[in-house]
Amino acid sequence: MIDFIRESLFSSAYRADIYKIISPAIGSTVYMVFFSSLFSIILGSILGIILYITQKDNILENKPINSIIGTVVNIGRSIPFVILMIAVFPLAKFIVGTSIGSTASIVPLTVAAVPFVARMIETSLNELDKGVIEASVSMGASEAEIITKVMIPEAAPSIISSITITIINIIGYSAMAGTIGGGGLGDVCIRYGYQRSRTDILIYSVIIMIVMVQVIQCIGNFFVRKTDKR
Amino acid sequence: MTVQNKMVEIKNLYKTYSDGETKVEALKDINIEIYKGEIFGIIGLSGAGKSSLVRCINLLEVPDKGQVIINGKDITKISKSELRKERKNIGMIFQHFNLLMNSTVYENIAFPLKLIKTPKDKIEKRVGELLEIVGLTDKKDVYPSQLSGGQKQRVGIARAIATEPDIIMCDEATSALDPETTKSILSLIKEINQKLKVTVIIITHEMEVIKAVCDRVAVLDKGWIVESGSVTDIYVNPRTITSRKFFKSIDTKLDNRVYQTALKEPGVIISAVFRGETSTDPYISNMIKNYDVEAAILLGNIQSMENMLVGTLVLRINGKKENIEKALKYLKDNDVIVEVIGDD
Repeated sequence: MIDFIRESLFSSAYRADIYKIISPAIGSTVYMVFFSSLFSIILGSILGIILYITQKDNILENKPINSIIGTVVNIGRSIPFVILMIAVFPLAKFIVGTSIGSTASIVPLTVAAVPFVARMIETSLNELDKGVIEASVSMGASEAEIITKVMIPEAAPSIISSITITIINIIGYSAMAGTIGGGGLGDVCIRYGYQRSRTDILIYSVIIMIVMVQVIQCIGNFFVRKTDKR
Repeated sequence: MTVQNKMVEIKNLYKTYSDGETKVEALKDINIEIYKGEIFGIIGLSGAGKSSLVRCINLLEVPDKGQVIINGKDITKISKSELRKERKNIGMIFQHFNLLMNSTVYENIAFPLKLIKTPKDKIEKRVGELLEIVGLTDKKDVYPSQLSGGQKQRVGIARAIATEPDIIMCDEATSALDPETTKSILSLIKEINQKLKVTVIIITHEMEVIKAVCDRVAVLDKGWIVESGSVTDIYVNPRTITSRKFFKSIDTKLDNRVYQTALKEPGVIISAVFRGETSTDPYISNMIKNYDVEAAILLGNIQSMENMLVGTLVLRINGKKENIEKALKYLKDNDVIVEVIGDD
């Protein structure tokens, strides 16, 4: 077994081949993860903030809006990703013009991550000390000022760690998207690693994904430490 | 007092909290007048409605009924943006400081100034002054987590007065602090009140705080104002049980053994409260000389109030019955508040 792995991983005959297969896949994965993280963080944060500020006794308490968004978010979170992905591909065709490849995968990945981000951001904001918000209301701050100058900066460390978790989740989901024609490392794993028994490619892909997750986690931790002054 | 001198006027204010089925009447028919430049105390036990009341003054809590008139303007009737402007005129200091934990001392104090769009160079100058007033110039770039409780409250005070408001409200501002720090924070509040001519409203459950800095006080119990007036008046002559409870708590209580022993001896036990000039006059020795009674001192103390001295004596007076009566009348005639607390 060890000999086999050593042979597959280090024999020069394979190396050029591996590079040719894996390097574009890394690019696609990074591309998918980057854009779906970006979109889902933007949309999810907006929803998360709305969920938080419309809670009971918060600055814009609004029960109907809170329960509607809450329900939509819960439904979104309860659909298994594989199902969601298949269901959303037609939508991808509508939005990005194709239902295959990494660009198309951005759509289901974003759709799946938005409700997740919304809840994560809401949870981060829930940790805020209500007293600070009350103090800023008493100083005559508007709702927009409270959100941008108090809530977000005060919850920054927690929000950053939520974002880190989200990106790491999206890396995992992107591999799943890859298996049904989404491109990227997941796609390579299925087509080469599984269907053609190229264990070397499988192992390399997994190592690369481990590295990606580690890097994201380290960057996340760095910013959490940097922003946390409590 | 003329109308112009009223800074805050609360008229017939009611506030009810409903939690599903149960309704709690937090404030009932509150009427308060707070004059410009004074330090007004509101004292009550927890749950008496103090926090609700103070929050009704800047409408953090919206009252069900009633008027809140600030500087002649009824703020329950103004628009949201006008209310925000009005709030900038009312600084607030909190029990748990409520500072931005991810911002430095400088940024915390600059926050209300940024809200009113003060230019950056002016903010810098103003924060510098404020840091000097509260004595934290060397902590400018420190985060609140590195400060002690008293220092955090100083930042809170600097923040509250940054925009030069007409009113500052202290919601249990010293309740999380130790006695020494409480003293220094109170003297800072007093200093600010005198230097900046700002009206101060203090909410507390501690009589010490009221005694140390307040000019007038309202006693709140179960949502009602049971008594209000000058601190010394209520101190020497509390008319309600709630007020008595608060004021008793700072008197050195008469030791029960002393009391029981004294009861067995002849005579009556009285408490006599002397105010102002009377507190230094020799009424007791005059009484003994003129009415042929003897007096044993069971307890005595002198409290230094905001603007006068208040002496309390607990005496056992013995002698002929009519002499004792005459002696007590003599004290009462001289503005001493006499109460018989034990008679055999």
